[in-house]
Amino acid sequence: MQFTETGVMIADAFVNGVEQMDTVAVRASEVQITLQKQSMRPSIRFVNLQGVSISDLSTQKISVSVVGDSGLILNKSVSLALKATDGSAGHIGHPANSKPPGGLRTGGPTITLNTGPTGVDTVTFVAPDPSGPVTVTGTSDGARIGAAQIKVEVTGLVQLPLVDAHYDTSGYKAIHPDNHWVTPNHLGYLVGLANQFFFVTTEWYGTAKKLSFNDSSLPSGGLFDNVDNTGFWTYPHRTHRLGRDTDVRTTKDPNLIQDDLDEVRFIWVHQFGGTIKTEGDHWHLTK
Amino acid sequence: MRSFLLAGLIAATSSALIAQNPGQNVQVAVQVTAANTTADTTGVSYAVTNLPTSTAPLWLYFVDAPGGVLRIARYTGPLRWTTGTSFGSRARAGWMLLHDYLAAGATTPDLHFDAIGVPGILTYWAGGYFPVPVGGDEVETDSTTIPDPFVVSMITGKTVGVEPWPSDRSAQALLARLRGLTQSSCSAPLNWITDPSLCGQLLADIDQAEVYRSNGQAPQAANSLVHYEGLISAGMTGGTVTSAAYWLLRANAEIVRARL
Repeated sequence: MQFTETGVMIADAFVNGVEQMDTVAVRASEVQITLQKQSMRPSIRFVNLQGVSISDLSTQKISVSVVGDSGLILNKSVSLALKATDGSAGHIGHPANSKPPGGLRTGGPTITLNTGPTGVDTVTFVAPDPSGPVTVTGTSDGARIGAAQIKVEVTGLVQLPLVDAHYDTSGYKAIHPDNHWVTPNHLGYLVGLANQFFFVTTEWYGTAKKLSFNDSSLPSGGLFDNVDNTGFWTYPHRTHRLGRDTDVRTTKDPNLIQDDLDEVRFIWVHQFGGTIKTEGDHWHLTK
Repeated sequence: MRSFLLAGLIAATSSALIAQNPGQNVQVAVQVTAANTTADTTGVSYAVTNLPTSTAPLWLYFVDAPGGVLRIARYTGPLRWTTGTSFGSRARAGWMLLHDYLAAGATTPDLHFDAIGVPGILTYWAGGYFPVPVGGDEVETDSTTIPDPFVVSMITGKTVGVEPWPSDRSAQALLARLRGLTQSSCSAPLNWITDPSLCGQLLADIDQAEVYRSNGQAPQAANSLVHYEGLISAGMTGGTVTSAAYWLLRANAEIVRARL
């Protein structure tokens, strides 16, 4: 017998004309969703400037079952659906319900499974590119809804102090007001670069120049979309996902001359071992 | 003399094919212009020539400095450069020419640094200028590693640098070390001394110095080393001893003499 509510069932019967009552504890059947891990990195997918598709998927197996009063219910159909959390992980003001929630198996955010003869089915969850919590909801006829939440995130990012005597920060937008999150190592390199550049330019010019750090990563990493250019949830910022790269203004900063940029390159590449790539009016500092 | 040596170095280095990676399109001749040890500190100076066969201006020059860099001179003349003392956790003396990168055929003024230690045979790196690559999307997966710029965009060779003092600073140990440096200078791949008979004389002087030293005849041992230094000087004048070998061996012979 399958119940939709958990509690006490009163059994009332007439036996040979005599009413007999008894109570039976019952447990409602319920969809159960079991995760391999509560937290996982977002996927990375983009087409690079050379036209090559880059795909580094982040996946985990999700186990799905329906548990009733007497255990696993076999051959039971279950529908799973994914839902991303609006406004999470630093994405502010995007259209409601537009955030990509990732995929199930190789398809979209919904799938119908069957618990089969073992009572358990598994499905691969492919994390979305944007970070943020994703809720997995399972429904099955006559059973209570089951749900689980997956934190899609790059863990361990720290915020670059936004105010510092040796550098400026820039690039804030209403939809991404929190744009300077990096790995602790990257933070050390950025601060080291800014400090060294500050002191060298003081020696050269008598007055210091400051670098301006634009976008790094969002608080939980992941896709850093930029609606100014191509719209929501696209990737004009191909990188900026793991807290390991930061934009520094170059030609956009009229204060800097070629010697200054050479100094930045010398410090970042030949002292810190990082890479620099140029894109328009800024450089990507990666390390 | 310098031009003669440079011609020899050009001949020695220009046979190698110019590499294709950006930054590696240079060929250089590294001339040691001084190596002197005072107390426990050694200063080394270089004049780096961007050979005419280079297809890029010279931009970077680094020398390994395993004991750390004590001082590095910043040049304030018309050819400006910036300096560094490390790459990651490794100490290196480094110079980067600014905007007026060194054209093919030109030579830097002296590049000088000081470090605690003794003159030794160490690695140098030189890099040609190339514009910052266009991109911004190459390093963005967990499995991607950042290439070592010293490997992918610089050329490398051996020169005189400063290595930490050996743990045994006795005259006997330093004489043995001088013998090893002499042998290295006389053989491949360095070939800093190209006259085999001179190499034999140099090694004989060292061996004689060791005999005197072990017999307690310090003045005679010192005289053997003075003779050794004279041979080095004559060889440099004669073109069979490079500037690197001259400064390396002369400075180390002086260090030994001071400890006899």
